[in-house]
Amino acid sequence: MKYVDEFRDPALIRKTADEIARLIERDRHYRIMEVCGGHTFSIYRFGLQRLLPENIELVHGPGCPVCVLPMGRMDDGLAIAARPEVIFTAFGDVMRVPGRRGTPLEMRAKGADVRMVYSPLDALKLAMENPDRQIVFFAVGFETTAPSTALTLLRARSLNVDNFSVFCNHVLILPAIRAILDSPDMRIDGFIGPGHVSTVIGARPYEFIAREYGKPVVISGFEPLDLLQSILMLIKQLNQGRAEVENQYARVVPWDGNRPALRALAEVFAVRPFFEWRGLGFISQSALRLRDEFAAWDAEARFSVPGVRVTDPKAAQCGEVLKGVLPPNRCKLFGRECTPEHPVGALMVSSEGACAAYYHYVHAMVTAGD
Amino acid sequence: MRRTMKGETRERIASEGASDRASLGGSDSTPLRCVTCRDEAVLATVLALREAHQALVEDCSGQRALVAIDFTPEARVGDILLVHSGVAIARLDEERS
Ligand code: SF4
Repeated sequence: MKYVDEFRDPALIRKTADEIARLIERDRHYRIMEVCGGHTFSIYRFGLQRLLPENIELVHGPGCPVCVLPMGRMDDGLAIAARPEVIFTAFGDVMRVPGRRGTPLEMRAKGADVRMVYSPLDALKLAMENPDRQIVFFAVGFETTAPSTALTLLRARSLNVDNFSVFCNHVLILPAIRAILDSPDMRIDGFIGPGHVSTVIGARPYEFIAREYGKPVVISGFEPLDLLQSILMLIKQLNQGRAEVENQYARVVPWDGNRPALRALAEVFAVRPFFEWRGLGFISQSALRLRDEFAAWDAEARFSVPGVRVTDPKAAQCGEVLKGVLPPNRCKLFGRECTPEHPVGALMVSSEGACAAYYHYVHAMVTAGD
Repeated sequence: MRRTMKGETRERIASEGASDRASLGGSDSTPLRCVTCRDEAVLATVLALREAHQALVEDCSGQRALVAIDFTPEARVGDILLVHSGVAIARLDEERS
């Protein structure tokens, strides 16, 4: 398909990698964070780190909404799922995220009515087909996903579907980046900006990173050539002492984002004063809740949720890995107590969490070579 | 792990007779996915416009689905859309690329 094949062209990939190698200053260390878990996944999948000189270090950021979801929220959601009148719906990845009493899949095995959906619109359809049940959609995701939840809620209102509600865990990427930038042990030189989030919010909102923190940002696509081009653009900025927001992914990311989607977000959601991120702690203004006008479709208002708080074990070093202070395999628990089968910390939970991605691709390669 | 889940999801959706949305991007093992998105975003070409802000689209592996185009109202037959959880969130723009 056009726009896919050309961004995997080995000759172009090689050429871009060579240009990066030619441009880097030998005695300089470049620490670049890819904010988005999809980028982390592509970097490991295509082995991009191997194409880069050693003094370019890629640090994996907080961009996996399942990974940053506190276990307490999962427990709250599962408390709703356990109610006999409820059909609990969620995206596939959420199905394997453990709360203290197990995962949604395990709850299903114990008799709860838990179903995977590909879109919140499918959950709404389920509600219309099952008027005697309560259908709850467990919403997670950044600004990429929140518009589809918003659209679903707007439709639920206009169609008057009163047996549908949303348990909202939507989070915002910019406050998380700011939290990383503000942390005292921050050592990132530049950012690969998220691609799909930016189709919705645009490139402009990242300007504060360049202006206030003096760090360059390049919004990137997900193919190998996209990522290498973005890294090249960052290296050029850093070498020239520039800090700007550039858009490598202009084929889908408009500078000002998607206006109809932003309008829907503003109509349906308000910003929570604060929200807990696994690994990063409480971040103010970092998540969305349903506006009061939509309280009738808010699962948190409809069902009394326990409001559980669960803290991660002290030895888990997710925060340091998230901020780029430690590579995943230097966490004391990595690959021993904490594995994808038995995740202790946030970043091991989804396949795109920094630790899980590292475990699958690097760790597996190393142990296979033993 | 992801591929297993996808298999399960598709089986389940097939058995429940839910929408064909699930199949989109299904057989392309190479993801245009972004975990930031909790789901994946897939490029798909518009085959036909349907009522109620919907479009029939086809992805690069030939899978078809009905998607909501409320956020890309300018979409026309032949356009390439970026589809995320059953909703088009962007239209590919050749001029900008
Ligand atoms: S190995 Fe586990 S505990 Fe350690 S940083 Fe990674 S996810 Fe957190």
